Amino acid sequence: MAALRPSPSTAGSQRQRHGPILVTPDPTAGDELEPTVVNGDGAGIEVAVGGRLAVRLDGGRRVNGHAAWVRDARGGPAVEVELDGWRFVFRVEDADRAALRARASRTSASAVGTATLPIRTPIPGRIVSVDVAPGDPVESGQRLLVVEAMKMQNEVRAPRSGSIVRVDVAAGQAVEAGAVLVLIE
Amino acid sequence: MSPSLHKDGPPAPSDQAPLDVGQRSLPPFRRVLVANRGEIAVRIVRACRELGTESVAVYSDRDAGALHVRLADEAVRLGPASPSESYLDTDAILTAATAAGCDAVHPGYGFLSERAEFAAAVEAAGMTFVGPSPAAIAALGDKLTARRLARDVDVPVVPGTLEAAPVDSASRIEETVEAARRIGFPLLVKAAAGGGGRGMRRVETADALPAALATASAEAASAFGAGAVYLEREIRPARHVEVQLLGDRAGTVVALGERDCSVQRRHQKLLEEAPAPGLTAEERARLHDFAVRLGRAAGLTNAATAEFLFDTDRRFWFLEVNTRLQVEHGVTELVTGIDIVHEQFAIAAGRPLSSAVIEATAQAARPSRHAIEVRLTAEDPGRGFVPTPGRITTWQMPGGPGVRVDSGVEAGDVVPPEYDNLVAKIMVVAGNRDGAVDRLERALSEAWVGGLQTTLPFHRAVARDPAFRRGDVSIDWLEERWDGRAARGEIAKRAAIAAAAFAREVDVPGACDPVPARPSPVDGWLPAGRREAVDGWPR
Repeated sequence: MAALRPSPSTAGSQRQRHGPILVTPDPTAGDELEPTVVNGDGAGIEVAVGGRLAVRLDGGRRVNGHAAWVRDARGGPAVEVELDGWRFVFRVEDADRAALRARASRTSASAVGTATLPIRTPIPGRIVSVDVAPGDPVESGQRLLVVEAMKMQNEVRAPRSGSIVRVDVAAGQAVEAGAVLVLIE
Repeated sequence: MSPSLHKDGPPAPSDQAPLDVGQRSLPPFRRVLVANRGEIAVRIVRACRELGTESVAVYSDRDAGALHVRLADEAVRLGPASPSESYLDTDAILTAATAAGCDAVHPGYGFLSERAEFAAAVEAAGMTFVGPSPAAIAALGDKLTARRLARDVDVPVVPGTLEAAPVDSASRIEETVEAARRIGFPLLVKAAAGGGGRGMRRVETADALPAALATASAEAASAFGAGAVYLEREIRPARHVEVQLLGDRAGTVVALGERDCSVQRRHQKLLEEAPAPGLTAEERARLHDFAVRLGRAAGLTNAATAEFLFDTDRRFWFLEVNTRLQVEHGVTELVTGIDIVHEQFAIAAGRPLSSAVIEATAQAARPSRHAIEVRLTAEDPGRGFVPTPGRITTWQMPGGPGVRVDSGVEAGDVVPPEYDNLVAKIMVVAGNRDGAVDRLERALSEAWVGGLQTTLPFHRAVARDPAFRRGDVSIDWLEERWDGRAARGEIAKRAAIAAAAFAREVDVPGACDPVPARPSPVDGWLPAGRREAVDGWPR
């Protein structure tokens, strides 16, 4: 994840000051938060110089934080938010444009007839074992592979049933956070 | 120590005055190899610099540009990233120490610090091992030997067995079950060579005992190379208290006060404080006396820590002795004003305990300050503390009165997946516990780490918890009080709205300017640059 600095040459070229904004949690952070459309409902949230945040929580407690432009796991621009010590990465885009793009991709997906689901590693580490091969049927919750990081072994399980289209990694291989491990159809 | 060891440096200082800070004319050693990495290697390199001793760092390929390497006077490569080929490779470390002309080796904690064979090999190579003698490490490293030692000097031991349970003999399993009935259930099966919860099983009924003995023994054999296991009563609820011991070569052993390490997760400490809250001066004196008796009986020199449980009937039960510098030694330093690493070097050089240590010992039962440390690790407290290795893009640590931060990283550094995930120890000190908790809350509010998730939200929640402020913590504290998923969820929705608000205020930058990476062979840009420069030359 890399911090981004504003560049004077392009400043203002992608302003999103008005209109609804679609906020999508980065898949590598593991949040169960659904993509949210945010209108001008930033009450209780102050953004100061340098991306400093002052936020009032629902319970009334005030917490401080920071926001900055970074690159997400796919290399696209994203907002890293640190709030009360928690770190989030969100993709943000104009909600109307996102809706158009979603409609376009739905059309192309239905043309193919199936949808593939990439399974990514939430942590960087080393592949200990791969339990599936292309063509294997998998049940929801079935173990796909094991990733080791910092002496801890973490099992990656199938989020839904289907069959394995592709396996992109092998045992012993090092992987970065967000890397695609297998594709499920 | 033999004077011949110092033929190129100062004479053996055993007959000289005790070492105090500022006496750089009398460095305890000429050159010290620091056989560790991360924050503790940085801590030891800093002590060397203060003492006028040169420091030699060692590193794996993964750590080539790490902070401990940048700060040391010299650095030697050990091998590939894997610990067994680098920081656990005795031969590589001894070769590095000899080649660099070192006269002492400081092991830090973890890695080789509690391996008697390593300490003996350092001495056999003509250097001084900064720690207890190989014999004391071996005796106290075996928990069964330590338990028998405690019984011999009338220190209360957690009830259980004092000999290894026969796990490989089916005919004798009935003996062990009988012993277990006398101890009472639930109990713990523990590895004699164990640590960190490995080779340990909780057993609730006699039926489950044989299987637990077999699996614990197998796990211990694979983890520690020794399958001996024994039984111990489970004392719960209890607090985990430990006593800092220092001993010199003249046989003086003293207690520098105690620490409370009850905030744990799966036998890993997350927060420590000194002194232990709520003990009377008499209780403190009794606890310190238990520890000193054990240290004397084991012939302990240098620094070690005796661990005890403190039950709800206000009784202490001896657990084990760690024959090394502890991660949490800093809180004792903040309360006593003693630099334990300086003392370790002085003791290893044959000097007697300093007068400052003797004075601090006299005050140990009536401490006049209170210190708290939190262990900031690269783990996600919202997802069961899974490791979160990666690059740190922003690194802002607290400062101001009464705050100390010991860390092994800076902005731009990588927390690698191969090693321990401790990134910083944030410590505070104040005149009393309430003041220290206030200061902790303030200090943690200033900390900011970007690029990866740390345990910071957990520590902030502890610091503002009313039960913690009352000193009402037991070893089960974490399981009882922390719901990380809910804590993260409470913040997540507001964070999403804040991200949108930020996007409205601040433009997306057109060009990407990553935080510059530190030179490291892993990144490959430095060798690539060199290659380009060389290949580009006219021939």
